[in-house]
Amino acid sequence: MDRQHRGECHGGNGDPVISQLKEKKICPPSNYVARSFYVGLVLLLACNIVLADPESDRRAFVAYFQARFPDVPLHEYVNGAYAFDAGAREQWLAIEEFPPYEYAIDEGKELFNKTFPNGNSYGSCFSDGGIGIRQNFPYFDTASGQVVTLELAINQCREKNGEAPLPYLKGEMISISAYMAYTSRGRKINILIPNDPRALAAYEEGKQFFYTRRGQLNFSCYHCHMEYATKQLRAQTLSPALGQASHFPVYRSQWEAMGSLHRRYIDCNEQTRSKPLTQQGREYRNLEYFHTYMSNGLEINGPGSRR
Amino acid sequence: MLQRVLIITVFLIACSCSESETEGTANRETAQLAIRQAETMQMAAGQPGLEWTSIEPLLDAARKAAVQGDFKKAITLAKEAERHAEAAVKQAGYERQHWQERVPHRENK
Ligand code: HEC
Repeated sequence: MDRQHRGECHGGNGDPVISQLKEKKICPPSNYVARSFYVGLVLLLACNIVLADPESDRRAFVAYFQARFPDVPLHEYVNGAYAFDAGAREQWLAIEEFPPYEYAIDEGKELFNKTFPNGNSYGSCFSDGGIGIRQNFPYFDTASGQVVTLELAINQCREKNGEAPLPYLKGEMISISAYMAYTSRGRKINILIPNDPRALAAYEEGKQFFYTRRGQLNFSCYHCHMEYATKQLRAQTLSPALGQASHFPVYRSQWEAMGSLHRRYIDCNEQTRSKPLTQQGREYRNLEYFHTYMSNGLEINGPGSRR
Repeated sequence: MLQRVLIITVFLIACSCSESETEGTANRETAQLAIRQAETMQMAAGQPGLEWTSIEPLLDAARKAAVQGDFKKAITLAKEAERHAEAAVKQAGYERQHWQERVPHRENK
């Protein structure tokens, strides 16, 4: 297990329990106080309250799929259901020869390079002029204490330059994010969780959202995209959750349009008869934070196309 | 054989009793009470992300039936809405305690 910021504890050298605790960055108080501390900790563990950190979560998440599908190479997960369904993959590859999202990339490029009346353009708001940076989104903004998705950052950029924010559902917003994803193809997803309790809380909220059953049909994301991954639901192969965040925005034939990851979240919530939340609201941004973090190391291949 | 007849008879009596009971109490007042009860339960089930989309249509239909004077239908639908809302509250409570159990852990593999 590797931890990014391992704190140092003093004393108790050689004690296996203490070194385990140290590994979890918990420094137990010394001597007899320690004993009651252990008792408490054992009780906590017995109650199944797990002291996990995002990186070991991610490793276990990847290991879950690798154990279930040992023949599927990791890099294939960014292709979703098409990594598992040969027939659908063939159709998809045929469609990709005439990418239905191409118009959005073109439109996005034009919009991205246009200058605002004040002379700035979108590039001025992002590192590297906004080119090849999709893999870093969403990120935790320590100044505002919240998760910032690419779409939110695009609107923050507009507001900073005196422009009205764009609607999230369709149109220019999606085209700009499609272009920014396109310039980032092949870059590895690199979501960071800074050493800030608020960032960890956001991650945890997203994680809880993902694993919580909701709606009349009583399903969580976990059930459809982990437990039943690769099984059929209404003539569609359920994609594994790993790699799902790599190709957004996506052109979906069912929408006959491009849409964001949050639009997909809305669809999936509605499928279980759970009242969906608002795009770019805190809950979905935190879900995206956890969801994308799980795919760290996989390549951006957006914008994509799906049925 | 006799036993079976007995069971069926008891069953039929029970059914007709409960039937006549609802019919007997279905009026504007009881319908509105049932709707209010369902609305209260819906509010309890109204945490963002945990609401069910099945509740509002049932409630709407119940209100409509009450307006149209079909109180029996209004009560049936309001009770169904309340049942869904109650299940949503239960689900949310259960999930708060149990969601962690699904998180994969390497150690447990
Ligand atoms: C009742 C089953 C069900 C549940 C629950 C569900 N989804 Fe889905 N989801 C689907 C289906 C069906 C599709 C379309 C087929 C596919 O690509 O998996 C889909 C597709 C997706 C996709 C797009 C995959 C791609 O390759 O483009 C994402 C992302 C996604 N779901 C995320 C989620 C998240 C996050 C949750 C939890 C909030 C969730 N889903 C809950 C059924 C479900």
